[in-house]
Amino acid sequence: MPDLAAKPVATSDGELAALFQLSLEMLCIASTDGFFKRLNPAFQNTLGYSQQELMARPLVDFVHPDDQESTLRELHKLAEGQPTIRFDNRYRCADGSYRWLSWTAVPDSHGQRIYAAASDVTSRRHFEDALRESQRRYRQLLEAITTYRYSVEVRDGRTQFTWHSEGSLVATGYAPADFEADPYLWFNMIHADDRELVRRELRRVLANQDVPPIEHRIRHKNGQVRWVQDTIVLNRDERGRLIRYDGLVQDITERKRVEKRFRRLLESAPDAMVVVDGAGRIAMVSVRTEKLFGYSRQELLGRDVRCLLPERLRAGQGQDCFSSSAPSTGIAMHDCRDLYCLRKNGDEFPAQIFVSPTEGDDGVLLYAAIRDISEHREAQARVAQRTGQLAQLNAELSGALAALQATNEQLVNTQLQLVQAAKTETVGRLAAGIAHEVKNPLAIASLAVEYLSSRINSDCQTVEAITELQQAIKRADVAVQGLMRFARPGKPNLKPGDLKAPVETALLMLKRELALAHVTVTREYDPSIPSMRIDASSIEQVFINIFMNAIDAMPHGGKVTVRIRVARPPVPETDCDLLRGGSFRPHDTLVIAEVEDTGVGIPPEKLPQIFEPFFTTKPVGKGTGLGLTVCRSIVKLHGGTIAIANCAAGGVRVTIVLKGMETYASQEESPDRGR
Amino acid sequence: MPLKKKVLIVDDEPALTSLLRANLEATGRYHVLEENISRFALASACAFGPDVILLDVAMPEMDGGDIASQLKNEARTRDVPIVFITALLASEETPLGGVMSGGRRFLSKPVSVAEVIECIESITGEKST
Repeated sequence: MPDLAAKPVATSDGELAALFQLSLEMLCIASTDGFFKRLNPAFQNTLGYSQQELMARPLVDFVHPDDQESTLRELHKLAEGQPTIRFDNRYRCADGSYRWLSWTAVPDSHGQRIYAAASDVTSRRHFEDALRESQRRYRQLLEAITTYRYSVEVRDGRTQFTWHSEGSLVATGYAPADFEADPYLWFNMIHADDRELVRRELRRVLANQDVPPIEHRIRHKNGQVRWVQDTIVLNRDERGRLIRYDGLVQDITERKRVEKRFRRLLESAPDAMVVVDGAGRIAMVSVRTEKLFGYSRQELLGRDVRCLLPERLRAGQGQDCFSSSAPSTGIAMHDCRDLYCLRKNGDEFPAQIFVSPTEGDDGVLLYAAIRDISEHREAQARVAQRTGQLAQLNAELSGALAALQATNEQLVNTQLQLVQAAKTETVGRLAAGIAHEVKNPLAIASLAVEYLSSRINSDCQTVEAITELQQAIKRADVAVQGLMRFARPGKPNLKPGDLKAPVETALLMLKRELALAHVTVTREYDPSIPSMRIDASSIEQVFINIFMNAIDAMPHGGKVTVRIRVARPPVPETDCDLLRGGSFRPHDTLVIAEVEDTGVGIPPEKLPQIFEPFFTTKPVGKGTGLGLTVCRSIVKLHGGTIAIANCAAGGVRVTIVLKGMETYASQEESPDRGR
Repeated sequence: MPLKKKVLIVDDEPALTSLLRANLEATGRYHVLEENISRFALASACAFGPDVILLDVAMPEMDGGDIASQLKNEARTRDVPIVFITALLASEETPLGGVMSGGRRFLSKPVSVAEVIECIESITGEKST
């Protein structure tokens, strides 16, 4: 054999043509419009047509009608430049028979021509078909022996003859011969509880009525109870009379078991469960569904599921909810909220419906769980109401708490006042006792002085001594009277007067003490001090106290400034603070007395207590702690105010504000008013 | 020379009564009896027959009010004017010769001789007119 691979063989059209003619494979060139252009003799040998006959008609004309569409599709692909790797179709032969051809084809680069080779695979195809047929028959055979068929001949509504298939052996354990031997076997093997059902249905059949498949239990020959489904088809003659019925008995024990398990699952669900078939009919319901909607199972099965919805919801939301186009994942629940459902008695109730579509053997099934949320809604409403009530109660509580706090504050204040009052009362009683005890010796001293003065000659020094004694007695009396006033502050004896007079009297009384303490007094009196209604002796006592305090605050000497000024309305803002607590009217003219010392001042933390009884900043034995308390009582009885503050430059300033008799109101009443 | 007016002073302070007595008698117009024990006030009054009684209020055993009641219940003393001299009232509460509630008069301790005389005179003057 020549070594063809060693050196390339030069090919020519002639050589190719020879190979083309000699090939046992069917080789051809076709146009993309579907005509054979050139064929080798193998075509003629296989199909029996001449080359002219094959080239005269579109090639698809020779193709089996069932394969023409796929053949044209393949041609189209080739015209677009895609090669055919393997494609089988049937060609009609000249004798009318068909042969299977298996094609391989490539288009040329211009998409004008197709180069194709075909093999006759008819015998292989036949073999494959035979195999398939053999398998089909095997299945049929298997089915024939496991599916139990029977036929019952009927005439004039009465059973004439019964035939049972071999499948009865598998389904019931009994052979056809057993049924022939015992004509009542078929009925006796039916479970006692189901016989009535079967009898009833068969009566309907014999009355020429179609019946739905009957599901009932049988006792297998081996003793087991098995579920079967008996599907009965009626055969009638041309006049419509029943002549025969054929039954197909299928063992559905497994299905029933699954169903039972499913039913148990369905019934154990806390919601009302409804299974809906692809047509929207109710296929299964749980007991809870019956109870919730008031329908019996029989009433519900087969009905449009939308009967569970109020009329107004059946088209829109309801339709969507039970639509099988809902996601068919089978896991994700399709949640239709805020729906209402309708009971048999026409009552509506709010419901939540969860729908899960699942694809099964019988198409898409919808599993719907329906939950009555009336109670939930009511609970929600109750919660909302309760929340509201709570909020209100809370607000009330807050209010009550605030009131309580205010009351508590008031109580604390009252308590403080009570303590203060109790203290004051004790002090008052004490003061009255002291006053009584002091007044008797004072009376004696006073009478003794009078007695002495009537008996001395006009010795200057003696007279002076007696006068001083008289003044001392008077001062002591004033002090005791102050104590008594504190104990029993009576109404002041108000008389028209000038504030300067009691101030000067007080200074005169303390002349000696001021001198001994090296305290100088500066007076700054407004020349236009109006007349006022005062109890001069009380006011004297006030100033005596204030001056005594000033002297005590300046043990090494110092200066006391006494200032009396007038503030006519409108009162300057700087003086407004001084008016608090007084009984002033807007148009009062105010007389303001200020006493400033250059002493040590009062520790700021002690200022708030300065007017309290028995409060003193003086050393032990120096003060009673009553002076300023009495001062405040007196000033208050005059309708005025008293304030004490430290001066910026050191020392203390006592400010007393009293009402002048001239008032702006009286000026308003003058005839000039309104000009 | 007019008759001296008889003044009974009832007070538990002997120093006070004796000084008041000395001051009043120094004027030469009064005859004064002191009584320092309150329970003997009525007896002294009955025995002495005063024109006016100066009566302290706060005293041990019997107070001025009780004594005044006794005096008012006794026929011999019923019409004798009483002036209370007390340490329980402040001077401004007892205007000179002021008639207080129940027609009683009050003087506040310490009292000056002049005030006492003025008071005695105003009472006895009223009485005499």
